[in-house]
Amino acid sequence: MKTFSFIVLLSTLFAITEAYATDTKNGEILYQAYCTQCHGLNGDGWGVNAASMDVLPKDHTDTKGMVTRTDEDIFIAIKKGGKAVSKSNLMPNWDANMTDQEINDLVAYVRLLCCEKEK
Amino acid sequence: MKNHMLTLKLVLGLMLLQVPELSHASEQGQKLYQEKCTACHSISDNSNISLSQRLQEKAPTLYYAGNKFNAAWLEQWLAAPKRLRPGGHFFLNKVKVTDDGDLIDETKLVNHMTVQPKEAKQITQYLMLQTPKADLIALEQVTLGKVNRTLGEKDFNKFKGCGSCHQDEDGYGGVSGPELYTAISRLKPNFIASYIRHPEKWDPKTLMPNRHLNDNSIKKLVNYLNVISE
Ligand code: HEC
Ligand code: HEC
Ligand code: HEC
Repeated sequence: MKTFSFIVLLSTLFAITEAYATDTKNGEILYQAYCTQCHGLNGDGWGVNAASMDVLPKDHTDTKGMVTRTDEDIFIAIKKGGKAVSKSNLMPNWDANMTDQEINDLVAYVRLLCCEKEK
Repeated sequence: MKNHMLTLKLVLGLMLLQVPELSHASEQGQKLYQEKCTACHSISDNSNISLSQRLQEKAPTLYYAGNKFNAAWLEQWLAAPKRLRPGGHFFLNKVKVTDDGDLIDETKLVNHMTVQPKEAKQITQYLMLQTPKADLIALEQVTLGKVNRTLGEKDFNKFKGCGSCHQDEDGYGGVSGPELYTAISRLKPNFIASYIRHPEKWDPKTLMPNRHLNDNSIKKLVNYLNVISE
């Protein structure tokens, strides 16, 4: 009986982490589709739209700048827009266009871009 | 009196003649559409489209063409198309990374196919019959008005961030979205308002964010598009 409940507990835990697990591959696809138009194909802030913007899109490959942001900061910036993190309104809010899960995948991908580059 | 009856009969007779001719034209248009356009365009329901399907589409959806375009514009454009999206559809396939930042590789942009004016008329008749999502249109009541051009421009670019992705003048503005300096002649005013209000309800995987704008902000933007319209 004890082992049984242990297994149940374990598999529930597993299911939970599974549900919250972020998918950087999916994050990359989302990033390419929605974000590269401003942040650039390489995430360096020089997307095709950047030339005509008054505030330059954040360089997501800038490790020094980006490590100071928590995952929460990045999540809020994407979901609610730049204004919600005291940045430019030119960074749009994406809450109506994607799910929280998708935003989490994006956060994971932005992290990979900025701070976990393979050496 | 007799004269009136005669006119009435004439008008009625003409109407009877007109109706079959109209449906005939749209049938012709449907045939032409299937022959010439389906290699790239789709007119089927896009409500459940996935992102990867959306990204693979070769051309914008025509699912709700009848609620989107002004018929006169459509007919004229099909016979003499001009580029609407400076970065093509879809911009990502046309990006080249350079030392000066990402640029659209102009050599990858193709000109839209042309049809004969008569065919354009028939295809337009057919496309204007495609009117799903009428419930979204019914929520809008746009009457076009004016706005101070300078303030309107500031609002469009700086405060609402539309200019990041859209051109409001040939050659000026973002390139990932369609140009908007011909939006008023191209698009129905209620469609413009509705698309700004909730783009994802028209096109679930649109690259345009819903900025949760209120009626007054939407009105100002539509009026700005009216003021700049070519
Ligand atoms: C319309 C252009 C545009 C698009 C599209 C866009 N961004 Fe931004 N983004 C900006 C700009 C401009 C800034 C810089 C704001 C500032 O520095 O004040 C920014 C800043 C950010 C920041 C950093 C905020 C900080 O802490 O400095 C993050 C994270 C971010 N964007 C993520 C994304 C993601 C993810 C996407 C795709 C879903 C995206 N952006 C799409 C324009 C854009
Ligand atoms: C080779 C692929 C291809 C074919 C074939 C094609 N189109 Fe297109 N069409 C496109 C692309 C790409 C665009 C986007 C052009 C732009 O934004 O400048 C487009 C844009 C349009 C638009 C404007 C859509 C919008 O939402 O802005 C209409 C209307 C249209 N096409 C109708 C037609 C019709 C009708 C036919 C058949 C007679 C046709 N097209 C054939 C590729 C195609
Ligand atoms: C991040 C880029 C982006 C921003 C910001 C943006 N748009 Fe768009 N918009 C697009 C794209 C891309 C399309 C075309 C649909 C697609 O391909 O997803 C579009 C389509 C439209 C259309 C329909 C035009 C057509 O011919 O289909 C209108 C109208 C429009 N946008 C107005 C606005 C306004 C007004 C704003 C500012 C509140 C705005 N957009 C902000 C990217 C953007």
